[in-house]
Amino acid sequence: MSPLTSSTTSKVYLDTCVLVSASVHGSYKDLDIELEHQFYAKTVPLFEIIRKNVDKRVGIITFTIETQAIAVIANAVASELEEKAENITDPDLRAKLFESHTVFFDQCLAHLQENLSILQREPISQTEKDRWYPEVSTMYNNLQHIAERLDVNQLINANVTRRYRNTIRHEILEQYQKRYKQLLKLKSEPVEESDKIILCEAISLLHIYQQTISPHIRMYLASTDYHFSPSNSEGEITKQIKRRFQIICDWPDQIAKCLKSDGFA
Amino acid sequence: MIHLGIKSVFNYITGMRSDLNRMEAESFVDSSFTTKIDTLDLELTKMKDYWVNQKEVAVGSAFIFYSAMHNAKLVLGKMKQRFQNVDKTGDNPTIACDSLLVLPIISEVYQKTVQAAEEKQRLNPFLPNATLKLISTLRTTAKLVSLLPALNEEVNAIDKKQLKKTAVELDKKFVASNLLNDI
Repeated sequence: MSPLTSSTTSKVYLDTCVLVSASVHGSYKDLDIELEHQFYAKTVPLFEIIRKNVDKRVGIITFTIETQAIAVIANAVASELEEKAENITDPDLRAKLFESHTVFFDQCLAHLQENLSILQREPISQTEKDRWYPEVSTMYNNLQHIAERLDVNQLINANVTRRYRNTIRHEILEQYQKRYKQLLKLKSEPVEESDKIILCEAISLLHIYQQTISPHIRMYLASTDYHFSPSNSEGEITKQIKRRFQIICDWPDQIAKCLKSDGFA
Repeated sequence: MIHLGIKSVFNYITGMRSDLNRMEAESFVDSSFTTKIDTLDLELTKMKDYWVNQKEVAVGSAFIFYSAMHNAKLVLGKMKQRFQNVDKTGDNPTIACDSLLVLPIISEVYQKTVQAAEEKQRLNPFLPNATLKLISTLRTTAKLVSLLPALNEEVNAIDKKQLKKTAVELDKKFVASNLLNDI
């Protein structure tokens, strides 16, 4: 990729999971407790760049992402509370449980609000989103079809001679599983409607920016979801999204590296 | 302390807003307003306790309405503190103007929570998310006008042993699961 000047040419659309991962952390020094979401550390470099370049409006979200993020955090805390409160009838104990969960929820909400304050919320009309939906849906349907027909054992039988098949099967199996990890995951967990809408929004935004900012704008989609981002090795879904829609999907820490090479300090 | 019925709470908040408007117009803050804050706080406490022990609604939804009351009480607590210290801090009439910004949101949060309490098993499925948005709006507005206590103030007020236990359990959850699957 050729280097770009940061002021006009790169935008990052943040998926809900990235906003959630960046907001779910807490520190209670007097209790000697630090807790954080498993991907929190991966979001830190991206948010550092966004914060430093807040005037360039590099980090983008939409109403969909913001609404989903609050609900995801609330549901995560509430489901944990649900497990604990299920069999507790003592009112005082229940009150303590509710209270401790609320304090943690408030802390995550405060972090979410800090993060939202440095992101640009863009409006996208339903018509604009609907315009891309058929193409996005077709792409995922085709990939789902490929994923369902994917048989790693058959691939090994077709590509490795019988003589070596048994001795190197294990090694080859691992290689294929790594290579097709994104498709294999798609097979077990098909794409959700909300993911399709997120991709439609990213494409809509790219087209708006191409018309209003620069035709050469570079659009990233930061996500920890393998329905967009690579899973270890570069996957078929990520490649197709880039080829069809010119959206570069990757993990937040990798997007941070891309932004640095685009000229963002 | 006066006990209000649910319907009277809305009238009471309207009355409080009139008082604040007067204070703002006269540039004079009446510190006895704290008594009215206490009365409203008591009503919110009752509603907060109601959601802790509510069994007809899923705990997940009850938690959201509980949390709404908790946050409204946090803001009222900070409001009271500023009214009490108005002579020392010269927070006059700023505290009246700031309170006027958050009281309508508190009223709306309370209205949603009352609606949920009335609907119970027939709970409108959009109500928990609408309440979450309101909690977020309340916190953002309150923070802008210095009516949201710092997180450590909130933590200091609760049972540390239970908080530690909850934090450890939540940490396990956040490390182990994909939260998006829980929505």
